[in-house]
Amino acid sequence: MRICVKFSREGFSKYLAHLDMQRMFVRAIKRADLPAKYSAGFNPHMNISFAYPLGVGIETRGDYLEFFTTEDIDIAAAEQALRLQMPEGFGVQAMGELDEKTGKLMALTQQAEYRLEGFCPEFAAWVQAFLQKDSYMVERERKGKVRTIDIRPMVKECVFLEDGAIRLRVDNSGSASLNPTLLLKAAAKESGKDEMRARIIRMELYTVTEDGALQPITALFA
Amino acid sequence: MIDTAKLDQILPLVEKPGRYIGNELGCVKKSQDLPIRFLFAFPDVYEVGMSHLGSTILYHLTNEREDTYAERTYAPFPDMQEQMIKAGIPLYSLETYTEASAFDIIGFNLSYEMCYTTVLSMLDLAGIPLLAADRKDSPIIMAGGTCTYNPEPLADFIDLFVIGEGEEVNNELLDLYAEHKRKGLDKQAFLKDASAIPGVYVPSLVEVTYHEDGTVAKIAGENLPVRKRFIENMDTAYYPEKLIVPNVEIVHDRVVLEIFRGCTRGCRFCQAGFIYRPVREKNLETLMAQAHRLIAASGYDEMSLSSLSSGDYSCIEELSVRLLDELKDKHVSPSLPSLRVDSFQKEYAQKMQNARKSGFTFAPEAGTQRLRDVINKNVTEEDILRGVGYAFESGASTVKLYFMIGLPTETFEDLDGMVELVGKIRDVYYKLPKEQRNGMLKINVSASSFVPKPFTPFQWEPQNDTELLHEKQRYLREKFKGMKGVRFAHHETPISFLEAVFARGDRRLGKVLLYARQAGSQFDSWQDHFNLDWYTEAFEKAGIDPKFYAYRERSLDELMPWDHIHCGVTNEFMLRELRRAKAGKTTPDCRQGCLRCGFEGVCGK
Repeated sequence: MRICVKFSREGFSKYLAHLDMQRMFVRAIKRADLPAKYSAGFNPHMNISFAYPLGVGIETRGDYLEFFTTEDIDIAAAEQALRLQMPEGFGVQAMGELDEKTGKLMALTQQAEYRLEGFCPEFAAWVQAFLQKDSYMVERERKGKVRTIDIRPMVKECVFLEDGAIRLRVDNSGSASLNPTLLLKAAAKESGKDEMRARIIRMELYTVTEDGALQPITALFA
Repeated sequence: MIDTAKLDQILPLVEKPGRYIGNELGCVKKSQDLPIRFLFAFPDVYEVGMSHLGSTILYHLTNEREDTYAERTYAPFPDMQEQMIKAGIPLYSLETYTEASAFDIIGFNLSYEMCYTTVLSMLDLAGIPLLAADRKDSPIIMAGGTCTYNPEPLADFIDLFVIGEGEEVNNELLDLYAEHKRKGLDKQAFLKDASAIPGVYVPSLVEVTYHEDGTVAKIAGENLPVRKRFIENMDTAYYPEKLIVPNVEIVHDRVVLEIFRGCTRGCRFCQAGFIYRPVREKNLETLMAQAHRLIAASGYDEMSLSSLSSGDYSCIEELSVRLLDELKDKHVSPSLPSLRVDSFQKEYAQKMQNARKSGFTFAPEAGTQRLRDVINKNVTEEDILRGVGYAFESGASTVKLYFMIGLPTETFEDLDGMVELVGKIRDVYYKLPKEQRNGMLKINVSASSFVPKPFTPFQWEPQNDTELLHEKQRYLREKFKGMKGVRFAHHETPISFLEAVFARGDRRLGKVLLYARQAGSQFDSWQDHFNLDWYTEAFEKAGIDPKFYAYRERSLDELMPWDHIHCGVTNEFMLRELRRAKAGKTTPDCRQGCLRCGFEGVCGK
C-alpha cells in the first residue's frame, strides 16, 4: 500500500535539518509499528520520501511524505498510532492512500503556499513594489554556484491578510521553486539592511491537474 | 524561564541549532512546582552528552521521584555561547528553558579530565560564581562520574562529589536535601549532613597539608575515607523503560544495552578495570526484556552492548544469537563493540559480519609479548592473528588496531614489535586466496599516549615526557610510511600531558583551572578549541610545575592526593600488581581464581 502523511512542524522543531526530520519519521513509523517496506540489499532501510525538503527555520502545517507498507493497513488506525509517536512540535494532519500509478510525491508537487508573519513595515512596502514589477532578478547560490534568476514569475499569488500576515503562493517544483527567505534577502539588500526576518509557515503543497486546476495533495488521497 | 523569543532570534545564527531546542520524544514533562529541581549538566556538546549511558539512567531514575523534576543541559558550543552572551541568555535546561541558576542542585558528569574547564565555562554561562566559597544562594553544585575517583583538582569548585555508581546514593542525597529544604536550607548544614552519607565527599570539609617537597603530608577530615558506592544486583537495578530519542544525530545514536559492570581482566593500565569492580552481570532474560522494551519505545534501528569487555559476558554467544534472531524482523541490527581479541570466535565474526558491515577492532595495546605481559594484556600474537584471520575469512578488509605508546618499561624494540605485528596481520590477509579477499586491506593503527591513572598499579609511574613521545610517534610514522594500506594516527601529546597532570593532581591545581578558564580554555578535548598556551600561562601564574604531576615517579609510600577515596581494590593489591608488572609477570583473569583484590566476599555473590 502506498501511504501519504500530511504533517506539521511548528515552534522550535523548525530548527531540525532535513536529515534529522527524516530520521525522526522513520523512528516514529517504527514505534507506531506500521508495516513499512524496507529496501532490499545489504543494509536495508525504510524508504520514506518527502514531497519537498523543508528549509531549516521554516515551519509547516502542510508538508507531505510517503512510504510503502508490506500489507494493507487500516488508515484511520495507523494515522492515530503515528500521531501518538510525534515528538513535541510535530503533528500528523492527515493520512491517506495514494494510487501506486501516480508519480512520486516530489514530482506531483508544483506549488507551495506560505504564510509570512512578524515582518517589518519596510518588507511589506518592498513586497507591494515587487508585485508591481514584471521581473525581479536576484542572485541565488546553490551548491556553490551563483546564478541569476528572475523570481517575479515564480510568485503566483500574494495577498495581504487582515491580520497583517501575507499569504504567498509560489512555484515549488523540481524545475522552479522559490524559498520565501529569498524575498527577505532581496528586500534587505535593496533597503541596505543586514537582514530582514519573518516567521515563515508553509501552509500547503499543491499539485496541478491535467486541466490546469490547483489541488492540495490531499485531494489525491484515495 | 529564559526569553524564548530571544532564543528564536539567535538559533538561526548558530551551527546545528537542533541541539539547543530540547523537547525530544521521551524527555520528561512534569510540574515545575515540585520541591526539588535538579539539573543534569554534561560538560560537552549535546551529541556527546546525550550518548552517555550513566546520565540517561540517572535522569530517568531521578524523575521517578515524585518530589523531584530532573532536567538536562549540555555545554553550548562557542558559537552559541557567543550569541547567548550577546542576547543575555544564560545557560538553560532543555525541558523547560529554565535558567540553570534557578535549580536547587546542578549535577555535573565528569567522564574525562579534559572537561574540567568546560564545567567552569558552563557555570560562567549560568552566572554562578565558580568558587564554592563564593557561592551563597546559588544551587548546590555536585559532580559524579569516572573522574571523581580523584576529585581533588575540582575541590575548589564543587560542593559535593558522589563517588561510584549513583543509583542509590543520589536518592539518599535527594531525601536529605528535601528534608533540609523543608526546614529552610542552610547550605553548610546540608553539606555537613551529606558528607555522612557513604560515597559522598565534601571537599570543603577536608583539609590537605603538604610537605616542603610538594607532596601531600596529611588529609584530614570527618567521615574519611569515602568509599565508592556500587549496586549489588544488576537484575533488580533500575534501567529506564524509555529513552530520550534525540532529534539530531548523536554520537551513539542507538539503543545501548548495558550487560554488565566491572571487568575481571586486570589490565594494569586500565583505570576502569579497577574502579568499576566487582563484576556484576545482568542475566540473559533481563537483557532480552530490556532490549525489546527499549527498541519498541525508541524506534531505533541499531543496538549496541555496553560493558568494559562484552566478549567476556558469560552468555555472550547465546545473547548475540538471540539478539540477531529476535531483532531481525524488527529491522534492528545489534553490534558488538570492544571485543577482546582472545575471546574472538569464528562464528561470531561471521554473524557480526552479517549483522553490520563494519570494520573489526582489536586492541593489542603493546607491540611485544614482553610489554603485553608487563601491562597484563593477556593476549598473545597468536590470539591476535587468529582473531584477524577469522575477521578476514568472514569478509572484513578493514581492521582497526589500538596501541599505546609510553607504557612503563617501553623501549624502541616494543615499537618495532608493533610494526612487525602489523606486517604479520597483512601477511594473514594476503595469504588468503584472492577470491576470498574483499579488496585492498586497510589497517588503521592508532597509538594513544599512555596516561598513568589513579587506582591502577601504574599510579606511581612517570609519564613519558612530550619529547620522548614525539620521538616515538615520529619513529612509528616513518616505519609505517612504507606499508601500503596502513594508516597511522596518534593522539595530541599536549592533551595527554595535561590529562596526566589532572588525573593525578591535587587541589592546588584548582588555581590552574581557574586561570586557564579565565584565559579562554574550554572544550579542551576538542582539537580546534584546545590551546596549550592558556594552560602554560596558567601554570606559571599559579606557580605550579605541571611536570611534578606528570613526569615524577612517586615513591611507594607517598601519600596520594586521592588516598582518602577508596575504590574497593586495596593498595596492597595494586602494589602486588606493580611488582609483578616490573617482573614481567602476568596475573590471570580473576574468574580463574580469586586474586583477593579487596572485593573477595562481595564478588560473585
